[in-house]
Amino acid sequence: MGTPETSREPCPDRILDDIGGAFGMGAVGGSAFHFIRGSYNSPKGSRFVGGTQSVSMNAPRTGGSFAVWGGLFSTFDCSMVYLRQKEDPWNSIIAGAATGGFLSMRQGLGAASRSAVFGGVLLALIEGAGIMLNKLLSQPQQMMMEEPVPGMPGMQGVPGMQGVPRMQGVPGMQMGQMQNQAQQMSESQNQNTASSSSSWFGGLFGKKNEEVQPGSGSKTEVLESFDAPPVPSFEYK
Amino acid sequence: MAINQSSDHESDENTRLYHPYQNYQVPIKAQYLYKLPTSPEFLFTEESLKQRRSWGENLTFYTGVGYLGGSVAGATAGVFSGIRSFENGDTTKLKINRILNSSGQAGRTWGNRIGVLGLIYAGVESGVVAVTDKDDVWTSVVAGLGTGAVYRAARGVRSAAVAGALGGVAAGAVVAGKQVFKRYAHI
Repeated sequence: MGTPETSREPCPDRILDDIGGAFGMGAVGGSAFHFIRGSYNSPKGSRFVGGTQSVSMNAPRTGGSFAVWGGLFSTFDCSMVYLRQKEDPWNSIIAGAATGGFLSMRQGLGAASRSAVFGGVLLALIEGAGIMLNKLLSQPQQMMMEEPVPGMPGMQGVPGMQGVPRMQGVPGMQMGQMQNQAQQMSESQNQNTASSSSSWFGGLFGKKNEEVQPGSGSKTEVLESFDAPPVPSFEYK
Repeated sequence: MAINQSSDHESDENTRLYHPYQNYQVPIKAQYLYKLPTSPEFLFTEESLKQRRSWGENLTFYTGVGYLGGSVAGATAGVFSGIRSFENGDTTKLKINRILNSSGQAGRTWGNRIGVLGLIYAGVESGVVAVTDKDDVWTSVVAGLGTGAVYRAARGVRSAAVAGALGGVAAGAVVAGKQVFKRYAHI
């Protein structure tokens, strides 16, 4: 998880930051691109001057279009967060579609809907790549925590960060118990990560996915109490 | 505990009154109001001198404010010039089209210009702070100088020098004006 200093600003100020960031990216990237293109397209003696002239003519425009795209996207994203009262990738996808449509609105309905589809697909690809990257990045940390467990032939690398806090909640476990429970742990972790990665679908599509959860719930519930000893029965033996 | 012990009246301007239960809906009346400082509280003074906005935050903030301010101002000016360009036989659709065109054009142009200025200013200021490790009025003045010079660098040395001087004076005036405003605005 990011610390408060590294995570993004809360929503209204986020728009300003995104406008600035997008303009900066567009201006700097555009400067490099137009400088190279300008110096390539100018006669031999005045390549540098030609490059700087091309930069001063074109780079602000590139920065401006990036800034408009970024500002509109951030505004729609913050509106979606406010409307849905949650933060997940669907906000970004819908915001991308809305931005694409809004920018082509003057060209008519057909062009606007095509741009909206294009923007939404682009954002979906970006968000999907981000989620996969997060999953990949959290795998090696999971592997490190499982090293001290001896004699575990069937332990695969389990994706997801849920494994780490659960491992840390095992203060007084016997080794024999661990061998049995670890196998169950990996299965339930798999199911938990599967359910958490599909939960942002569930957030938009409502209750449909919740029927799948109770079937796997019983296994998880058994595991939740492994650090507490079984309640003794008070029968006289 | 949290009660501010300083009693000189200058600290009163830098403090805010805090009631411990102000964020909770409990029926407790405010018996004591504590004076908390308005700037971020740090445990060590050395850290408070060092901690400031990172260069990335500085960049996005100034560029964003510059671009947004410039485009809003340009769009408003463009709306007026669009209204002024109405001709006699214009339909409503034509009028709206004129207004959109002129406001869009002026907004884009001015937004780009002020955004570029904000970008250069933020970059130079972060550079000056990183090199000199200080952050006061002179940092802003030097940053303004650098901004003007870089912005007009393509037009020649003299134009760059004039623009740099203008930028330095403007930056100094803004920073000094802000301090004066803060001191006398409460009156």
